[in-house]
Amino acid sequence: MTRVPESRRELLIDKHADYIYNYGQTKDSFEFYATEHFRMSGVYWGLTAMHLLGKQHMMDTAAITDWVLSCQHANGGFGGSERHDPHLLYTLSAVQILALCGALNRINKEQVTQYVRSLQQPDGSFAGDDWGEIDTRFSYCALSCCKLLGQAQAIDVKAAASYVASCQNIDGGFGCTPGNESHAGQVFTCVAALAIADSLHLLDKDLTSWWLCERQTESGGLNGRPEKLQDVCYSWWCLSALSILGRLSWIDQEALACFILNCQDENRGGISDRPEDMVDVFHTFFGIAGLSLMGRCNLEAIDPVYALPETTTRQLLGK
Amino acid sequence: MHGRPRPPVGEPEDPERRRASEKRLSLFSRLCNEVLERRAAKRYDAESMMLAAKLLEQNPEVYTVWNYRREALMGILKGEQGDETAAHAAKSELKLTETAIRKNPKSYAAWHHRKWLVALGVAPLKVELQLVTKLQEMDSRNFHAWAYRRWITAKAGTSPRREAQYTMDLINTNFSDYSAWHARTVLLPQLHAVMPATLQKPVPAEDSPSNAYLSQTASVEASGVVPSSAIEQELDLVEQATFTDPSDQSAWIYHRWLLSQSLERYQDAQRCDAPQQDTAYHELQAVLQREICRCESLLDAEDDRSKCKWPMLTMARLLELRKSLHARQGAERQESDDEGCKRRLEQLYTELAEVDPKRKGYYDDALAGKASVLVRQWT
Ligand SMILES: [Zn+2]
Repeated sequence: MTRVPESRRELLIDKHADYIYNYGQTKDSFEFYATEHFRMSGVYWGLTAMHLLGKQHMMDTAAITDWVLSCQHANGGFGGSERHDPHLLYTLSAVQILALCGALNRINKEQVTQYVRSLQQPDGSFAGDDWGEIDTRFSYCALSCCKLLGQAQAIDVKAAASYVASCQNIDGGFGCTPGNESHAGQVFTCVAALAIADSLHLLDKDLTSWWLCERQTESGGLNGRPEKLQDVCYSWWCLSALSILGRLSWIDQEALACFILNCQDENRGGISDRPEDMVDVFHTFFGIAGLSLMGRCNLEAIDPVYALPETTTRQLLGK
Repeated sequence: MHGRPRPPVGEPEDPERRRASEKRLSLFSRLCNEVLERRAAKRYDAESMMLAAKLLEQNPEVYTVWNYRREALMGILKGEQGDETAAHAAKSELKLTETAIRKNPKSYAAWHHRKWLVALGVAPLKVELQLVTKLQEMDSRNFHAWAYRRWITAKAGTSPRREAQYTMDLINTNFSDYSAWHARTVLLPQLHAVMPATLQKPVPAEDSPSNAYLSQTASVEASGVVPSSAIEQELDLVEQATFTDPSDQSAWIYHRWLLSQSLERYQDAQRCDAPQQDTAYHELQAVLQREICRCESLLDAEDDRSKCKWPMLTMARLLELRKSLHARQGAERQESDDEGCKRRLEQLYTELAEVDPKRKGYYDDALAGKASVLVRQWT
């Protein structure tokens, strides 16, 4: 385990808040155009991180809400930004943002659910959009979206769960479709999907958790697959799944917290995939979310299943 | 963003680099605007398609622009403008997706577009298999490429035997290739399930013990459980790999699966009659005994305990499995044997927590009988 320099021992809350705030303001950068097609998720990562930091008041929720609504299409789905096509990934991000802004009443819930429902296949899986890509990530998006909208009955939850279960591999992890290699990001989406579907009995908890705890490397960080490099984003994916399965104690949380803190950019704010790499809003969110899940740094608690602040899910779902 | 180093702080920006990045921004933003405006206007002319391709070559993840191309191409590929136009369009689209995949081999959108295209029947599957093999040579762990390969081989009806040989070649080149090990866990059951029942050994009419074993083998193989001879071969392969590098987790995770397969064979036999059950019991016993010896010799050969995590963990699981197998069979055991086993497990898990402290929580639970990744399959 590497020593964390003095300047990174604490979570640099104000620097990260400024970094995220500015991310939304700089419109004349290459990144702004290169990431346009998934801006909806970018805004969700940034806004959720701000809530966890207790800095949500810095965000203009009215403007964000209007922008999200401007990305909705006639079929009920949301695009990655104004100029992009509807997709389940961004429909979930949009619903999550509206939940954070307390603005779910601004959309027609049945219409959004109808869009989600139209993407479910006879085998229970979900396509990401009308072009037919199938992936367990989309199963999670569909289940989470409908549940947050209070419309779970609109889709075939049981078929969705059994499809997700069919993607479990012999190592306990999950792949994007049956037979494909396990990947920590996919494990999160599948475990959380099964949790939403109330079907965790379909997986082998010990085996899955053991595969997940084996993701922690010497550095303290977690990787996404065996014999791969550690990365901050996996700290969220592995950790949330372990938390849902009640096995957080199977990894060294202190070492992981140090790894995440060491990925901070103490000058510009933000968190990167590995120490000394360039920061981005994606890893900044996942780093903060990981610390929150481990109860560190006085952050707002995050819900491991919905990846939203617990206060938000408690309000919506009465958990 | 992955693997891009942070720029140094406080250094004045190189004006030349600044100009270059400004130019890059203005070109790229103009191209984005142009393409998305044409898309909104539903312009499907050649120039618009050329611009869309240009954008995707630079950023293959812009899914909306792939959608745009599909809208434009759908009718053409179905031959609405004649066969020649269709063939030409297919060819250039295959080329574009290949460029995009090479630019970003992890682009979900580019791989999906290729699948969409190939599903229309515009490319020979043999060529696709060659292409994906070439891409896998550049990165044998790319799960997008593997997923595509599985899709192509399923579509083409490639034999699992051929694919299993492919994974074997990869493993022989690099024992640490977890993707290839994983692929074997999918392929081996297929390999043994596809055999049509008529090709299996005939079920004998007479019920002598040796014949009964044959009939059991036949029924087990039809269900896709890997036969014991194949499991043995695989265990030998694992031995080679773990002997080469005992700290690489790929082969060990595979090893756990092989043990679970042996266990499953034994469990399947419990539905058969007594002689078959007996054979299955002795078969499993033999596997456990041999694997325990192998772990023992790995442990003997290495003085540095910090390098012994995997043989120790595997040893602990083998002992647990043997213990519960004996208990289940009601085998005659000395109380001292059980005591010895218990002490050995304690010693192994305690030592594991020392050499691999990050997972101490798991080892503690395993020792307390609160976590089992192998034996729980009894139930
Ligand atoms: Zn990452």
